[in-house]
Amino acid sequence: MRKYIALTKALLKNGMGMSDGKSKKFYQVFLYVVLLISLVPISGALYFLIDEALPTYSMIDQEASLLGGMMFMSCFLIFFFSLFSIPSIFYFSRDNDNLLSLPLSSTTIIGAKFTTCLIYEYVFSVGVLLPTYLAYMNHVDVSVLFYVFGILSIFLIPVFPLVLSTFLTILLMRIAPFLKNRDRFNLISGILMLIVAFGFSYFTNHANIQEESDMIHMVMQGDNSMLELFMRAFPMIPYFSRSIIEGNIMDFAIGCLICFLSLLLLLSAGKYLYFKGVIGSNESSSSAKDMSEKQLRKQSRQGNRIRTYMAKEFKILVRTPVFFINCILTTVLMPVIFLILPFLGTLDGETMSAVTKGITALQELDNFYAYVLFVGLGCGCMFGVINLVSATAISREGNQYMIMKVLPISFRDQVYAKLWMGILLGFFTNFCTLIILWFYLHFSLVYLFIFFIASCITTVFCNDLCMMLDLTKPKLVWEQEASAVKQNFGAFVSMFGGMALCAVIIIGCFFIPEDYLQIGAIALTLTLLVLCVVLTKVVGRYGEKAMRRL
Amino acid sequence: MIEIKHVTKVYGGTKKAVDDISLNVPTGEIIGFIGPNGAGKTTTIKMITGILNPDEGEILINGKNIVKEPLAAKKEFGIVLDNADIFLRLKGIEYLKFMADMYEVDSHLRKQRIEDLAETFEMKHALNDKILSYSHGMRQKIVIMGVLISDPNVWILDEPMTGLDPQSSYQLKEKMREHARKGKTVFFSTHVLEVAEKLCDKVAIILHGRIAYFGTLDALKAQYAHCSSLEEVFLEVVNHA
Repeated sequence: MRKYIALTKALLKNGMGMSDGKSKKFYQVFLYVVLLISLVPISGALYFLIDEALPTYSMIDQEASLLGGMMFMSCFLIFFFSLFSIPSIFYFSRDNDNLLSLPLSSTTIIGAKFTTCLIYEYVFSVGVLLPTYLAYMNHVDVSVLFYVFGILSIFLIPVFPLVLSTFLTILLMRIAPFLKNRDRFNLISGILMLIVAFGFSYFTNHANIQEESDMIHMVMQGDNSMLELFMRAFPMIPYFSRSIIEGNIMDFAIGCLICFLSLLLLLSAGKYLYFKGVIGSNESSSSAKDMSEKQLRKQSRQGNRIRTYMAKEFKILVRTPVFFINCILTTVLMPVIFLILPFLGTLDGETMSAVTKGITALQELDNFYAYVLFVGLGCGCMFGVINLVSATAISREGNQYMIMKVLPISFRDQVYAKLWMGILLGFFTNFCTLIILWFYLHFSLVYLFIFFIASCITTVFCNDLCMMLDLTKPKLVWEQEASAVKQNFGAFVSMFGGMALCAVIIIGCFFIPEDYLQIGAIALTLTLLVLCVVLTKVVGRYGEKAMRRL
Repeated sequence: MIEIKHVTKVYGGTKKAVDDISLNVPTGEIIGFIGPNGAGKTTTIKMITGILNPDEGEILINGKNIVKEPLAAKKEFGIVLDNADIFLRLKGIEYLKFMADMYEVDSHLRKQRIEDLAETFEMKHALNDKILSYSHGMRQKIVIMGVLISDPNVWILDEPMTGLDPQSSYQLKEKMREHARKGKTVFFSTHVLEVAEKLCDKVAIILHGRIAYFGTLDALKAQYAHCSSLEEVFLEVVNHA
C-alpha cells in the first residue's frame, strides 16, 4: 500500500500538471482557473437543458432516467477518451522502463497509473454531473442523502468506465502485439477516433424514425424503464441514479460494490496480462536494410538550406503520429467536415440541386463578390489556424530547441521555414475547399479566384500571429509529443482566436448596410493585406529576438 | 581556437553558475574540460555554442564573437550535445543530409564523408532506419557523424563517451586525435579521468563556476606529487578549491 501511495504521488507530480518546469506557481494556478472557466459554458448549457427537461420527465415518472442519462453521458465520455489515453499512460509512457526495473508488482503499477487516470477523468464527471445535480435541486425536494450520494457518485462513477477501457487495452496489448509499436498504435487509434467521430455525426443525422418511436414508447412506459438501457453498458448507473433520487442506501451500496468488484477484477487480470504486454512495447522498429548506391547518391546531393529545413519539418510532421493527425490530416479533413458532411447528413438530391441553383442565382448579384471576399477572408483565418503548424512551431521542438540555437542558419530563416510550412498547409486546405466549392456548389472560376486570394491573405496573417504567439511562450518542456499540440495553451488560444476572427468577419458582413458592402469588403481586404505584409516582416525580426531569449 | 574572456553566467539573478572564467583553447590541441556535477561545465559549453548568452564577458571562436557574429561563429564549430535524442523521426541518412545542408557541405565531399564515417562507426546498415529505432550508442554515433560531416574547425563535445561501446569509444578518440592533428581544436567535457589522461594535451578543471586549473596533466601531477593517481589529484584539487 505504501508503495502504491508513493508511486501515485510521483506519477501525479510528474505528469498531472501543465507545468513546464519553469513557470511560476501563479501562472499554473491561472491556467487551471482558465481550464475550469472554459468548462462553464458546456456545464451551463447542460444545466439549462436539464432544468428545461426535468418537469416533463417528472410528469412521466422518469426523473431517475434523466439522471441516468447524464451519468451515461459522463461514463461514455470517460470510456471513449480514456481508450486513447490509457495506452499512452500504461504502455508508451517513458517512465515504464524505470518502473519495470523497480521491485513493484503489476498490481501496484496498474493501481497507481489507474488512480492518475481517474483523477484526470473527474473533469468529465464534475463537468456533467454537477450541473445535473444543481438542476435537480431546483425541481425536486432533495434529502441529505441526495447531497451525500451525489458528491460520492461524482468520484465513484468514473471508476467503472475507466476499468472497462483499461481492461480492453490490457487485453488488446496482450493479444495483438503489432499494436505494441507506439507510432503504429497512435496512428491507427487517431484515425479510428476521427472515423468514429464522423460516423457518429453521420448516423445521428440519419437517425432511424423507427428507433425514435421505440425510444418514445420506452419513455412513456414510465417507472424508469429507460434505466435498463444504461444498465446494459454501465451496470452501476441505475443503482446510483435511483439511490440519489430515492435516497436508497441499498442501491448505493450495490453501485459501490459493482465499481469495487470491477476494479478488483481489473487488478487480478492485470496481474497476469500487464507485464507480458508492456515488456517490449516500443516506439519504432528497424529495417536493417543497407542503403543502395543510388539512394546514397540522392541523399548526398547538396540542397537549399531553407528547403532542407522545411523538408525536415514536413517529415517530422508526417512521421509523428500525433502531429500527423492534428496538423496534417486536419488540412485535408477540414473542408470535408465543413462542406461535405453537413450535406451528406441533411440534404437529399433534390434539396442539393435547389441549393446549387440558389447559389448560381446569387452569383448573378452585383455585390456577390463582396460576400465572397468576406467569406474568403473569414475562411482563410480558419485555414491558417486549424493545422496548428505555426501555432506549435517552436513548442514541437521541445528540449531540442537547443539544436535550433547551434545550427549555422539564422533564427530568422528557421522561423520563416517553419512559418512557410504552416502557410503552405493552410493554402492546401484552401485549395481543397476550392475543389469542393467548384464540384458541389458550382462556383464560377472568377469567384473561386476571389475566394482563394482573400483566404490566402488571412491564412498568412493568422499564421504570422500564431507564430508570434508560440515564439512568445512556447511549451518546450514535455514528455510526449501530444503535449506540444494538444495540451498547449498557446495553440488553444491560437485556434480559438482564428475561429473567432473567422466568425466575426463572416457574421459581421451581414450587418453591413448594402451601400457600404463592396467598399467595406475591399477596404478590409486591403487593410488585412497591408497588415499581412507588415506582420510577415515583423515575424522574422521578432523571431530573431525571441529565439535569443529562449 | 576558443577564447573565453571574463565570462560570467548567473541563473535566477543570484546563482553564479559560471564566475568570471577566462580560458584560451589553442588550435591543434585536445582540451579536456573536467569538473564535478554542477560545476558549470555544461553552462560554459552552452555559452561557447550560443545556446546561452553570457551575462558578462565575451567568447570568440576562431576570432568570431558568438554573440555579435553568431552565424560566422557557428560555422566554425560543430557540437555533440550530451543528449543524443534528436530528430528521432528522421532516418540516419536524412539527418546527415540535413546537417550537411546546414553547413553547406559540397555534394561530392559529403558522399565521401558519409561513406567513411559510416564505415568507421559501423553505421552503414542503420542509415536507412529512423533514429528512433537506434540504441543510445547508435544515436550518439549518428550525432557525432552529423558534426564530422562538416569537418568543423572547432569540435566541441559534451560528455561524448556516454553510451558508446568500447570499439566506438576508441574510434571516437582516434577521430579526436586526427582532428587535432589536422591543426583543428577539440574541446570536450568528461567525467572520466582516464579518458582525459590518455587523450588530452591539456585539461581545464572547473569548480564552483571558476577555473581551478588549466594546463597539462603532467604539470598538475607534479604539483601534487604525493598523490598516487590522477583520481587522487583530482580529489585534492576539488578539496582545496
